[in-house]
Formats: sequence, C-alpha cells, structure tokens
Amino acid sequence: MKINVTKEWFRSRAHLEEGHEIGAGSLRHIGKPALHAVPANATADNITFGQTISLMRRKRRWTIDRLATAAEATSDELAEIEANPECVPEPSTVFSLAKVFKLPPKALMQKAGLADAASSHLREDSIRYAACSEFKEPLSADEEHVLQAVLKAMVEHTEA
Amino acid sequence: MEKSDIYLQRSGTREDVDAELWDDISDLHLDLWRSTWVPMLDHTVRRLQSAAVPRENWPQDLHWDWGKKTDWSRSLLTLQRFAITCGGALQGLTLVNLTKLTARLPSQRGKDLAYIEFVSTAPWNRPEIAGVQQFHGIGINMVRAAIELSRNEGFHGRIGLHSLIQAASFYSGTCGMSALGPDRHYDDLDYFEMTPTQADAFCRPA
Repeated sequence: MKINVTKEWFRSRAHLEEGHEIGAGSLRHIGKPALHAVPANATADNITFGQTISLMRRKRRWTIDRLATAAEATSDELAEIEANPECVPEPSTVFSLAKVFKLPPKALMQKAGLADAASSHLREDSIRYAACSEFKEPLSADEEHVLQAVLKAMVEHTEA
Repeated sequence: MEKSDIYLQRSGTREDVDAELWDDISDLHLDLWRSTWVPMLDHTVRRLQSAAVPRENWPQDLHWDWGKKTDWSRSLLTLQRFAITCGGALQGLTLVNLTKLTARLPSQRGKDLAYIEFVSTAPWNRPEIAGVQQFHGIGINMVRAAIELSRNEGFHGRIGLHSLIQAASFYSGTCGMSALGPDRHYDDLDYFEMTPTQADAFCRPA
C-alpha cells in the first residue's frame, strides 16, 4: 500500500506535533490489569468466555505468559481475551485452550461465541456482568464454585 | 513490502528530512527495534527504578514487545503493520486492526473503522524519555497511514484508538479526533475516533 503525502501537507501539520508524546494501545502487562474477575452474583450462564479462561488459568496459578506458552498463543491475545468481554477469539486459540484445559472444544467454542449458542442472551448477560479486578489473586470459594458450575454445564451440554 | 516517501521534521531547527513509510514491519525493523530502542528503554526503566518513581508514573508502554506483537499480527490477515524509518534508523511502529471494533460515535455507530491497536515512536523522539525530540511528525504520518488504509478498505477514513494517557492531547488537538472518554474495558484509556469528515480535514493542509 502506497500513500501520497505532500510536503505542503506535512509542513502544515508537523509543527503541531512538536513536544507531544505519541502512543496508543493496551497496557495489559503493567499497572492495574483490566482483567475480569467473577462478580458475586455470577452463574454458569452469565460468566464470559474470558472470565472462564481467567478462572481456569488462576486455578492453576499460571501467569498469562505460561498459558500462552502452553496454548501456543501470544500473551497479548490471551490478555485481550480475558480482559475484553466483547473480544471474539481466534477459533484456533479456543481449540488450543480447550486442549490445555482438557475441556470439550465444542462447548468452549460456544462459550466463546464461535458456534451457535444455546441461547443468544447468554453472551449479552455475560458482557453485562463483566467487571475489573486484579488478576493474580487466587480463586475465592465463590469463584471456585462458579468455575465448577461452568465446567459441569459445558460437559453436560456436550453430552446432551 | 511497499515503501512510501514521507517526511519528518527535525525538532529544534524544523528542517524537513526525507523518510520512508513501510507497509509492513520486517525482520530488519525488528532487529533495529531490539538493537536501538530496547537498550534505551531498559536504561529508562533502570533510571526510574533507581529514582524510586512510582510505576504508575512511568511511560506506559515501556514493556511493549514489538517482536511478540509482530509475530501475533502476522498470523492474522486483518492486521496491517507500518514502520517508519529515517536515515537508516527505525523511528516508529504501528499495528492497525481492520475488524476489531466498529464506530461508537452516534453519527457513525456500527460502521467499520480501522482501529489503531498500537503506536510507538523511537525513544529518542519522546520528550518523556529523551528530554528532547530528535524528530517529530511520526504521529501524523501514522495517523495518515491509518486513514488511507481505512479509505482503501471502504471505511471512508474512519479510525479509532485508545490513547496512552500522555498522548491524549495529540489525538484531540493535533489530529482533531473526537474524544469519547475513558473505556473501562481498556484500562480506562481514553477512546478517540475520527469521522470521514474529520479525516478529510486532517488530510488537507492545515
């Protein structure tokens, strides 16, 4: 792709940039992570795909980098999946995560919104419930309960 | 990989210098990033640590690994990479995503846009790191590249991005983008969008 930038255009604009910092993009690896914990009123139906992955990872006390290595994905991609409830992950990444966590790929694909979900309102509910939290915390008893319910629901759905 | 002839401006003298915009990030660009940017960024981290500057006050992108970002982007057809070089030195890097978000401004809601995932300039062009800038103009060229990409894709110049805190005034003031406020899904970074009308205005001489 070629672009045509004239000197006239550049000269008229360039001086306006002097002294400015330039930068854009996610900060996922420093400061307060925008990763999502599970709200108190979460259920197996309203927890997002990213929250599910976050819970599974934290249950193993893994960092995002370690999960990225295991799933042959990138840390940036996984951070995005965990942090952004509207993120639509790559199918290949979902399959890799299913393999790593020993989950039914089809159920995880549905959770990720990549296959026909049992009910389209579940994804909307999940997004509504997403909230920010620190990401290195171990699972609380409530989170452990929700995770077990999610896993049970996914297995039952696959077997149905 | 195609090259476009562009210009940068030497800070201080405001002398225009010839530069190149590349429509990909090559292995050579990554070698330059590793050999020239990373040592300077590492030095900045050590300086901030020894001065006990709280981490929340550090430049926010010191940790970015452009090797990983590039590797990740190469597996996705919807990501376009750009690099700017001048005098054989790497001056800026950008990643643009064509499918990540749709427009949020009420007048544009739901329409496709080119989303600028990441932009970085060389540490010697950053007042926050180097104290003074060697060159400026990297930002406007990167925004221009994203607009042209958006136009090529039929998005009429619509672009969007989440600005690092220290760069917000550049996008609103210099580029004339609309600020939509902090986005809780993106570390509370301010989200900016440019409409087709704003893009047309930006691409005309000021």
